[in-house]
Amino acid sequence: MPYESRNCRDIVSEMLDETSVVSLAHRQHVEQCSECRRELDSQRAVRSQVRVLRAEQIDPPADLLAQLYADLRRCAASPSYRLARLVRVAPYVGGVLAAGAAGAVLAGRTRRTRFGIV
Amino acid sequence: MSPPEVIRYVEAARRGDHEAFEQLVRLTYHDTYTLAYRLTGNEEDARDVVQETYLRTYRSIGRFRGDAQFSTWLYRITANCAASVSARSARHRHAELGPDTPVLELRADHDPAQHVDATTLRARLEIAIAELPPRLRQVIVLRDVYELPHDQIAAELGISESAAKVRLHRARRMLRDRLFSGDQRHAV
Repeated sequence: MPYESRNCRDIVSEMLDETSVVSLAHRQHVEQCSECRRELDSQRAVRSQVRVLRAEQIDPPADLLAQLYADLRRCAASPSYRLARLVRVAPYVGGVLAAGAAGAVLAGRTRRTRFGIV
Repeated sequence: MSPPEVIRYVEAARRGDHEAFEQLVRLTYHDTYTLAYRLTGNEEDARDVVQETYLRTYRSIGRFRGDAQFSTWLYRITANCAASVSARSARHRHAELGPDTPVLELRADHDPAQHVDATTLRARLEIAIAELPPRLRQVIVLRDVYELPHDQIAAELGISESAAKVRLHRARRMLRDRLFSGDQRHAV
C-alpha cells in the first residue's frame, strides 16, 4: 500500500505516538510495507531529536520578571479583579456568617431554656 | 509531579495569597518563556504570551482543582495565549509586510543567518523548527517537546483533534525533509 494513502499516514502516526493500542493488522502492515517502515523510522528519528529540546531553556529578557510582577500588581488593584474575587468568595463568607448567626441563636435559646425563660 | 514548593505556593495562591502567586511566577517563568518562544518564534510575541499567560492564570487560579499538574495547566494556558497572539501578530504583519519579507524575527542568538554554517544536527533542528509555519510549529512543540495529549492540544489551539493530528504529521515530515534531505542551506 503506498504510504501517501490516509490509512498509512494514520497507522504510522499511531505507532509513533504510542497513545493508543495499534492493532495487529496495522503492525503487520508496517512490518511488510517498506515505505511505511522507512517513514516510521525517519519520523522516529525526528521526534527523538525534537524531544531533546525539552531539557533546554531559553533565557527570558532580563526585565521580564519585574514586568510580570508589575502586571500582577496592576491586575490585583483593578476594580474588575476585586469585584470578581468578591463574587467568588461571597458565597463562602455568606455561609460562614449564616452558620455563625445560627449558632448564636441556638446558644441564646439554650441559655434561656436553662434559666427557665420562655 | 510538581515540586512540593510549587504545590505549597499553588495552594496559597488559590486562597488569594498574592505573594505566593509571585513566587510561582518566579519559579515557572523561565519554562513558560521557553515554551512561548518555541511556539511563537520571536522574542516580542513570546513576551506578550508570557504576560498574558500569567494574568489569565492569576485571574483563574481559584478554579485550578489540582487534578492535573500545575505545569501542565500552565502549558495549556500558554498554548492558548500563543495561538491568540500568533493569530493577532500574523494579521498585523500581513498588513505591514510584502510577500517576500520573512515573517520570523528570530533573536540574535537564534538567527538562521548566523547559523548557516552550523554543522550540528541540534543547530539545524532549532532553525528547522523556527522556520515551520506557526500552525505546524505549535502542534509539534506541544506534542513532541512537551508531550501534551492530542485532545488538549486541539482544545487550546481551537481546532479539532483530527486537524491537530494532521498538522503534527505535516510538521514531522517537513522537519524530517529539512533535517535529512541534504538541503544545501542546511548541509552538514
